[in-house]
Amino acid sequence: MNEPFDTELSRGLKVGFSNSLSGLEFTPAMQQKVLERIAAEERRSVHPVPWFRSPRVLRPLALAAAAAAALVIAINPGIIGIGGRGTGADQGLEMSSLSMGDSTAPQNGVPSAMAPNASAPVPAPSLAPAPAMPGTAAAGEPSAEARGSYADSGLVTGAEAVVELPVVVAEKALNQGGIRSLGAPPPLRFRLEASGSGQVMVELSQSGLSAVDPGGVLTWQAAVEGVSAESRLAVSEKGRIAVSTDAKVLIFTLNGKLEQSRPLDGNVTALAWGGEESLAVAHGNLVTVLQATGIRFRVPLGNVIALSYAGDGTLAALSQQADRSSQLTLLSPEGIIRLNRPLTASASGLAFAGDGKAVVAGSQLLNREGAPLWEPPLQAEGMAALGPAAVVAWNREAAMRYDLSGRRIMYQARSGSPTAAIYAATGSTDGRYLLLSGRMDSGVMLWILNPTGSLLYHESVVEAPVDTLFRDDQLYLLFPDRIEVRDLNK
Amino acid sequence: MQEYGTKVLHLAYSYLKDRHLAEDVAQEVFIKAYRNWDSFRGESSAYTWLYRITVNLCRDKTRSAWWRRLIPTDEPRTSGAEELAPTYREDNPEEAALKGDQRNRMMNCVLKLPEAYREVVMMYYYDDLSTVEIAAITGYNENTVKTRLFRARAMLKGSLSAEGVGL
Repeated sequence: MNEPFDTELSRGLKVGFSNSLSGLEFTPAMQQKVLERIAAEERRSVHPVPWFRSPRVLRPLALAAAAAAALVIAINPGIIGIGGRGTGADQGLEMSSLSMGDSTAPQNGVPSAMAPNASAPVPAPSLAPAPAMPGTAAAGEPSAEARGSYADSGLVTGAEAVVELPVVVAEKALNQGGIRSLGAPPPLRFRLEASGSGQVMVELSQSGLSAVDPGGVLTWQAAVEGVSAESRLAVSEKGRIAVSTDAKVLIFTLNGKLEQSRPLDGNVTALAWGGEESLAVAHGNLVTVLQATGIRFRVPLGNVIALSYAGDGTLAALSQQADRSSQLTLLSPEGIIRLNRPLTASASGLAFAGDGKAVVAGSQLLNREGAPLWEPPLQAEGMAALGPAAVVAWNREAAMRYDLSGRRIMYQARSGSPTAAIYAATGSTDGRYLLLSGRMDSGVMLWILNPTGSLLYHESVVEAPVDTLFRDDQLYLLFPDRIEVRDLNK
Repeated sequence: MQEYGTKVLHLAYSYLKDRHLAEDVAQEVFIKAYRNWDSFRGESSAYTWLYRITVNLCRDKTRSAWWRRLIPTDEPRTSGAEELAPTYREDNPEEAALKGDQRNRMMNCVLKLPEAYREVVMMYYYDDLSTVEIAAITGYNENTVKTRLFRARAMLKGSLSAEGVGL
């Protein structure tokens, strides 16, 4: 820090923050709350662990169950076994957010749980992970031991399968063979979307829009002024592109030609295409539905943070209230409010599921009348639609796939290490792939599962992608300075 | 808690840009620290350890798919002619007001940086941590920290210039 710029930046931040954050202090009341919560947890700790937080040490009864389950698996490959428990380093920490100063943290990039193990069991055929992608071994590709570590024992809880997600140490994953880096270094990349057909993939970056075909070839670029990390991007089924910049929405054709520029009141906070003709825009305190002929309707719904269209033209809007509670609104294609109800928990994600009959709002699954359809048996932090007929609910410790038509949990996946916490789940539109993202001390874990819960692929990356996208059998990872592709067929 | 609470709170705010969420996270940090005190072996300072817990908790929040759809609305307060700390006091009141305005714009530019860059800028310039300490807290290697600082500087110079703030 030796330039005048550095000195002034440091001084400016210190003075600016101390002024603007005046009053934001860790008060005695907060300290008291912390102490009360600790006391409450200590009282609770004498009670048994809930069923979905199974003890980390296998007891004889569990071993017997595991043996029985292995037999079941052998005759029924559709049931998945729980993975082997981590050893050594895995046992050290209860909470995943801790690592500094922890002697159980990985040393020299190799956690003891992942150390070479000549006696590592061979995975059962139904659990065999996808073959290694060429040239990725040094890029965080799991070692043979790591791949085998989740398949060495089995345990079945009722009809529901349990999958343990292995963890590996993050290593630099740049410029490795088999991982294609598309495009040049900066500008910063913000969003990645694709048309329904997958023929057009559009990337929004600091300099504007870029389209790449599924093979990764850049087909066109369009400069867009005023793009920021808060800009929104939506691509229609056939490839019409809407992008927001402050208080404006720009619509581009499939070929990158600017079709419309619509100034709107207030910052745009959400965009959604309804077929090819309707574009819903949340801006200011309004939701406006634009059509080629002009404004179809405009409804004041407050601070809308997410929009989603169902196939029949019903528009769902999720708004955040001043008290941080959430409100779900369903609008008919004509703009008539069909449902307007508060949610029981604060939410920010929104999608239709189950062929449009169900709505996923935050961690809740509701029907169109607002009645709950499923209460996950875990304290869900989020839920996402997974293809037309399933949803996935997750929290830091586990994720569950729920089949809407069969009304049953298909599988439960849990992190194989207490130092890895699941923080997001993303499904492919056809429901064939589920991407679970987890954080661990040394980076980010990515796990990809198929509809039956088989682990297809896993790796660790140094930083979290800012956006992800499934297209056919490829997973695109958007990082601030690059796009990487994982071919799930290899 | 008394010693580090406010620092942890401010760090959480720099990630979340929301006072209420930052308060929640700060409380969670101390609960986790209490639960895991046994695992803290003094290989780093308690401050660095708490920072790391804070960073991880904030990342959990900001990396969730639903968080990305949120636009935090809690803009930092712009206090106009700020009361400058004595060491930074300008002699000329007009100049002080101008500086105050510039610093508010500067702060807004920093808060608008993507998280990967904002976090290293905050730790380096606001908390005066070294690149080695930042690497230990964030889990990046030191070269990554340096690269991000370099890029963040370039981005800030661009955005500050666009805002009419000359440094």
